[in-house]
Parts: sequence; C-alpha cells; structure tokens
Amino acid sequence: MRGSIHHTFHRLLKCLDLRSSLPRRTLSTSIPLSHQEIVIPKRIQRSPTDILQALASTIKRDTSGPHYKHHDDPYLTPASNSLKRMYSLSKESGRKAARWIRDSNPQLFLHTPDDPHIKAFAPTVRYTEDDASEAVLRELVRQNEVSDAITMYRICKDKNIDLSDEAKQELLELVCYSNGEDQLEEDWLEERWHRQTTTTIRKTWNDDGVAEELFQSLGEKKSPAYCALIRGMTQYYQVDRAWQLYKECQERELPLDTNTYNSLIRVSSFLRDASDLRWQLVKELLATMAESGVQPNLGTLNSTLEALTQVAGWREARGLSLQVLREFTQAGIEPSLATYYFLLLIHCRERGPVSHLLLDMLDHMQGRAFQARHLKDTYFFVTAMNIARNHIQNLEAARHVDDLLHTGNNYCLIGDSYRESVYYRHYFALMCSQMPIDQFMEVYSDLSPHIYTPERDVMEMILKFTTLHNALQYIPQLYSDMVAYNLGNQEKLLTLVLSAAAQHQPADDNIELTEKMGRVAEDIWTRVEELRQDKTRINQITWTGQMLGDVLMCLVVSGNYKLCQVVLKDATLKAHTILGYIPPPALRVMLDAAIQRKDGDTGLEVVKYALESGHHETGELALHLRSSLNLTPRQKAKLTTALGTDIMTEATSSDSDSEGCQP
Amino acid sequence: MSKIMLRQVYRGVQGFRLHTAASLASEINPAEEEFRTLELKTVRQEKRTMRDRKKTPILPPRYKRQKLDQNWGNVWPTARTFHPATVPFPVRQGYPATGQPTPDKWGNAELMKIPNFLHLTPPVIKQQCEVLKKFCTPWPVGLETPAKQDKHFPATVSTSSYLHSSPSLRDDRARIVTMKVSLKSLELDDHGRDKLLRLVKDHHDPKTDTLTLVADRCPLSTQNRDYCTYLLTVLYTEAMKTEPWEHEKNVADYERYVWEGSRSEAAARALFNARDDSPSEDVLTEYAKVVTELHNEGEDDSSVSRYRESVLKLVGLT
Repeated sequence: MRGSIHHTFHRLLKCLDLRSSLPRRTLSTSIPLSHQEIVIPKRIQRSPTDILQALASTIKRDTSGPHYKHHDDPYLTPASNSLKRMYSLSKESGRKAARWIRDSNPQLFLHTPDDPHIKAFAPTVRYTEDDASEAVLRELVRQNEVSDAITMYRICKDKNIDLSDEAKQELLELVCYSNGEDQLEEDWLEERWHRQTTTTIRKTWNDDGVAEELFQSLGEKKSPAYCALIRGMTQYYQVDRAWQLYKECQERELPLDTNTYNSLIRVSSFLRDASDLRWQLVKELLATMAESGVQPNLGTLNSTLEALTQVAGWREARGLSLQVLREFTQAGIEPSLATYYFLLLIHCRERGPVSHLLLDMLDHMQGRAFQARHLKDTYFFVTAMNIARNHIQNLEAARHVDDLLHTGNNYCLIGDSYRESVYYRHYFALMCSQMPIDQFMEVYSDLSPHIYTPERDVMEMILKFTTLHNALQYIPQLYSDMVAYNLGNQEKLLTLVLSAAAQHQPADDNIELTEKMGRVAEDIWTRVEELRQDKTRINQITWTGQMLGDVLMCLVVSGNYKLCQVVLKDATLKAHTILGYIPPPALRVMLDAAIQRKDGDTGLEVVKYALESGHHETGELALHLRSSLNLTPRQKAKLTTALGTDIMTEATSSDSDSEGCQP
Repeated sequence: MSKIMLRQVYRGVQGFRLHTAASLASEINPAEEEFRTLELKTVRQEKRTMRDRKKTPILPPRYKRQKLDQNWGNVWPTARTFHPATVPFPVRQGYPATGQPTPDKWGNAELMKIPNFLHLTPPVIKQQCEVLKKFCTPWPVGLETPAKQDKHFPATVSTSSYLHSSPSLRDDRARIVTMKVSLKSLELDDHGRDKLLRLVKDHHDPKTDTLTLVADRCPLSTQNRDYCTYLLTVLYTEAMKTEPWEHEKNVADYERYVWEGSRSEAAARALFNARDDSPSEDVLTEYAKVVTELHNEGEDDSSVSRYRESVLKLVGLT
C-alpha cells in the first residue's frame, strides 16, 4: 500500500517538474496524477498580439462615421477634403511639438517608470563635436539620420579620425539611398499620407554631394561600393555616370548584385534613343546577369517591364511584355501588383488599341490577398480603375477592382490620400455614367463624405446626370452635401443646382420636395449675397440672369413670395453687376404669381425689368398684366410712361370679357 | 531635430547677431526728435474687431446615417464613453427637475459617467468567440465531470497575471502562486494525516479538506511554484515518517478523544463491576460512541440528549 502511494506521489511530482518549465499565464491549471490515461492537448502557440489581431479582424470600416483618427462628434467631424487634411495634419503637428519639447528639454524627462525601457519615449541623444568617433558615426547611420551622419563624417575628417572601410561603406549606402537628404520620419504617418509627390522624372542626384567623395576615399574600391553608388545614381537619374561606373566594373571584372542590374535595366531607356535599341540594351544586361550567375528576382521582372513601359508605343512591346511575364513565372518568380501595373501601362495605352487585359487579369487575381513587395505596388489600383473608366468603360471590371481592393489587407496598397481620391474619382465617374441613378445615389450616400469627398468636377458630373435622369428628388441632398464639402461657392455647381431645381414640376405628391427646392433656392441666394458683400474674397461669384431666373422660379413655386420680391428688387437695382438678364419664362412665372396675389406694383416691376432687359416678350407681359388685374390709375400711368399709350388700348384675348378700359 | 550640437565657430552666427543689434538701435525716428511728448497715461489702442470666422458647415449627427441593419460592432468596436450622436436609440437617465421629464441623452453627464457595454452586444460576442476558437484546444477526453477531474487532477495551482495601461509591464503580485491539494488524494493513514495536520495547522480547511499553500517569497512565479512543490513534498515525506520520539505521545497530545482506555471506560466498567454485572457490549459501545461524540464534536442539544439516554441505559434506569 505504502509503496503504491509513494509511486503515485512520485508521479505527481514528476508531472509537476514537467510543467514547471512552461511559463504560466492561465488563471488555474491542474496537475495530472496518472497522465497515461488522460491526454492533455498541447497549448496552441500564439504571439503576444495574435488575440488582438483576431479580434480586430472582426471589425470593418463603418461608413456612417469619420475615420478613427478624427473625433467622432458632429462638430469635430471633417466633411470637406481641406478640413480632413487640416485636422489630421494639425493633430500630427501637436505630436511633433510634443517631440520637440521633449528633445529640447531632456532634463525634464529623467523619470522613466517604463520597464522594460522604451527607447522611443526617451529624449533623443544629442552628440557634440567632442563625441566624434567611428562608433557614433555608425550609430547615426543605423538610425537613418542622413544629414547628421554627413556632418559627423566631416567632423571626423577635420579631426583626422580614421574611419574603417565598413563605416565608410555603410555611410556610402545611406547617402546613395537618400541622395544626402533627410527623409520624412516613419513616425509622421499623416504627413506621409497627405504628401503629394511630383512624378516628373528629372535628374536630382547631388553631384557635389558626399557620395563621390566617400567613394574616392575608399582604399580599395570593391563591388559593394560600386553597387551602392550605381544604385543611388540610377535612383536619382544620374544615368551617364552610373553607366560609366558599370563599364568600370565590367573592365575590372567586379561582380555586381541583382538589385544593381535591376536598377540599370530600369533606366536603360535613358541610355538609348530608339525603342529597339533600348530593348537590346535590356537584353544585354539580362544576358550579362545570366553569365555572371546572378539570380533574377521580382525586381528584375518589374524593372524589365518598367523599361518596356518606356517604349510602350513600339509595336513589339506588348508581345514582349507577355513573353517576359511567362518566362519569369516559369522561373518561379511570383508577380506582384507592380508587375500587373506595368502590364496595364503597356497594353492599355491612351492612344493605343483597346485591350481587355484588365478583365483577364482580374479573373486571375480574384480573392487573393497581396503584400507590398515592390515600390510601385501602390500604383496598381488607381491605374486599374483609371483603365476601367477611360479605356474600357466597363462597370463590372470596376466592381471587380473594388472587390479586390477590399479583400484581406489589400486596402493598405492604395498608396496615399491623393491616390485614394483619384481612385474613387474614377469609380464615381464610371458609376455615375453607367449605373441607374437610384443605385448610384445609394453608393454615393454610403461612400461620401467619410470615405471619399467628391471634388468639384465629380460633383458637376453627378449633378448633370441627376438632372439628365430627372431624379430631382436628390437635388436638395446633393446641394447640402455640396455646401458641407466646401463646394458651395463654386459658380458652375450653383448654376447646375439651380437649373435642376427650376426644372422641378410641382404636383400634389411632391409637396415636400417643392418646399425643399424652395429652401435650396433661398439658401443659395442668401449665401451668395453674403459672399458678394465680402469684398476681400479673391474669387467673386457673379450672378447670371439664368441663375436668378431659376431662383425666382423655385421661390415662386414653393410659395416664398416675399423673397421673390426682394430678389427682383435686387436684380433691378444691381443690374450692372449681373451677367445677362433674367429670362422671360421666369419673368412670366413671377408675373403670374404677382397677378395671383393681386400685387400690381410687383407686376409693374416685372414689366419694367423686362423692358430694361430688352426682351421681346415685354409687350406680352404688359398686356397680360393689364388684362388680368385691375390696375390703379397710378399703376396705369406708370405702365403708360413705360410702354406708351398703346398698351392701354391694345386688345387682348381676355378683353372680350371685360369692358374696355379707360385710357 | 538635429542630433549634433555644433559650436558657434561652425555656425558663424556671431557677425549676424551684431548686425541685428545695430539695426535695433536705429529705431528712433529722426522726425520725432524735435519734441517728444510726455505720456503719463498710456492710451490703449482701439480694440481690433475680430474677423468673422467662417462657420464650417456641420454634418447631421451620425445616427441619422445609420441603417437599421447595420453591423453595430463596426460602429462601436471598443469600450467607449457614451456619445449621444452615435448611439441611435433614445435613452434617458437621471433625476428630473420639478415638472421636467427625465433628462435625455444629449449632454447627459450621468450617461457618460457610467460604464456602458455597447461594445459587447450578443452578436459581437458571438463573432469574437468564433474568431477566438482557433486558439482553443478541445477539452481532454475523460475529464468531463468534476468528480473525474478531482480524481485525475487533485491538485490545483493558481497564478494571476496583471495588465496595466501604463509603460511598465511589471506587477509584484504576479509572483504569487497558490497550490490547493485535497488531502483525500494524498491517501495518508491516520498517523500521517494527524502529523500533516499538526505541521500545516491553519493551511488546512476542515470543511473542504484541502490544504492551501501560498508562496510569494521568491521574485519569480516559477520559483514560487517550485517552492510550493518542494513544500508539499517535504510535508508528505515528514508525514509518512515516524520519528523515534513520537512514541512519547500521550493522552494529552491526542488530537481526538479515544474512549478505549480512558477514564470514562474505566468508570463505566467499574460501575458494572460494582453491580457485579457483566457489561452488555451494545450499551457500552453506544455509551462509548456518545461520549466520543461529545468530546470530539462538541455539545449541543441532540448530542447531550443522546448522552442522557445512553447514561440512563448504562445505569439501568430505562
């Protein structure tokens, strides 16, 4: 009995020993006495953030509210593009200010309760000239501080401190990569997101920079130094010197690595003029690569295709691009989004024949999640949407592109805020022109303003199509959106809104809509008048007669007679500031309203305005007024002075009922 | 900000500074030099009117854009202070002023102070559980009931880990390890059990018959766990051992009252002897049982009455 007890207890201890080595994070665990019968499954290994990532995968973007970086409050939600930019950049400038305060007052940040120590929270270490040494230089290079590293290098040189070749190589690589300029820190996400880079290709390589100096100062110029320098020069389009260096390498039989060859292939179109010669150069470089036994990678594929995009007008280019793709895929290199981007550029050219490559491509890519593997991956989605809209005008293709964008983490590859807005601009334009207006308005109310705020041109298109399809019930919403998106002072848009509103036919079942249209007209008039008072504005809005006419029509139809009178008065008084004249149909409507309300004075105003404008229909209007209303002698006198005595005596159709009037 | 502080020599600022100083001195207008008026009181300049700030148009509140079949988990993903413009339903809270209805959700501090669980609606919980399932292993076969679990896993080790919303990961309390063992599973005999209970004293809970060992003397929880194991081992081995001096245990040391050989037995037998009667075993055993019960479990009405009965039987009065 005792022996068996010992035995079981011994086994208990043995099991305790087995378990004691594993870190304990659970609330309670049990120890087995007889583990031969019970099998406990092994714990599933997970990284520290796996559970958080799993929970985060259940959440998608909700379009009813702003991006999570903004405060979710009606007063603090940005609606227009300028506000979004302003809010996110100002928030980031706060962070920058905080960092500046921390770095300029390090003595205030000595208390560090963090355990383990968080380097990012500590003030940045500042070096003085006395600290100059190779170790400090290498540390600065490691931290990607370009200008500081260059300064430190110069200080080292002045103090005659010897720098090893490794240190010089590291510094050379940094300077070549960044062209001697400080790059925007990775911490400033909003600035990177809102950064607008120019896409013009011109030589920006700093010829007088440290790079060449460093290169010359290297004792024995080996392959890595040549690689770094060639790559840097090709990146910043100092192509001639790069080619020179390449030739040197060939003479001295120095091996170069894959990425250097890639960079040379990329700029080969700057070295030759004719398309076939350019392609020949690319082939030569690829052959040299193969001879040296250098393995090609994704960069080789993308650089070759990029070189072909430079000669996309050549008739061989399209066939060659597909051949290249086939060969590289067979060699086991998986194409990235940049590959597809270059293929689209080659095949779906603006001035070339229509190619439906995009559709085949999308079928192939459907449902796949992509990662960022090449610098130009972020160009794909914008180009795809552009082609769907401009080249093939296919809504299905656009839908597939959008689905692909929302698969997995692909949205990260949209690039920056500019590219996102261009993407949606193309999408909206395509949808607007091809979808039934109701469906389009659904998508519109879903995506704007928080995902995408339409720009002026897109808004113009939307208004035009809404008017075209006679879907006037959307006009009030579009107008209020316009005002919220800071487009409320765009003349073109206001003209379109007013002309659409004026087209509205009031009926018994759309009284609400008529009221809304009236409010729209009123709001436009008040706001534009307010803006016109402000003389400091650069872009002054000018009323056109057509706009005022539309305003009048809307106001009359919705029953806002008082404001009509004000508008008319204003138009008469400030006729010199108005472009054109209020058109006769509007005046007619106004006159009818005046007659209905037995307002002879306003009627006279209308006739006077028509006369001053020189409309042919003035006489008609006057006759209509005289015959429909019993004018007072004073009014009659006014009418006579304006149009002559004939107006009183001329017979109209309605005269048959009434008795002849006194002259 | 540059990481290198350069000395003045490198910057060459000196000359520039001198230049500005000179220009500052030349601020005196030669025209005024004729006669300067003495101003005892400083006349305040007229207040410049503030430029009318452009009113940014405000969008309607968020709940107006929300559809009836929206995914609420996307709108309110984490614990968040109540915000009336985002929450789509009307809710009132607070004590109303006289003649007023209960305050509504707009600007309601009461609603904002209390924790809300809008981030844990049942569909969201379901969704999150689905996603977390891939980190869970199946429950081991053969451990379905608590009885089976106690049979196979009689000992339990508990630790707590602590998470702070602060830069530091550390919390001292995470080193504490508690080990609970049911004494039944140790399968000790009487002597062993008695010895163990004397050794552990307060650490034993008689109601649940568990031994609780808490270790916090080492800085790491793994060390404390090992210490608990060591303690348990030592206690068990000591309980199994019999020291040479343990035979010196006398009646005063007994943890339980034993009737056999006690004065009560002697007295009862003497009683029978005095009556020249042979003691009937049932009466004696019953008496023994009752007396033992009185001593071990304490007195209460039922046990005292049982004793009374037994004594009467013993004495022969029933």
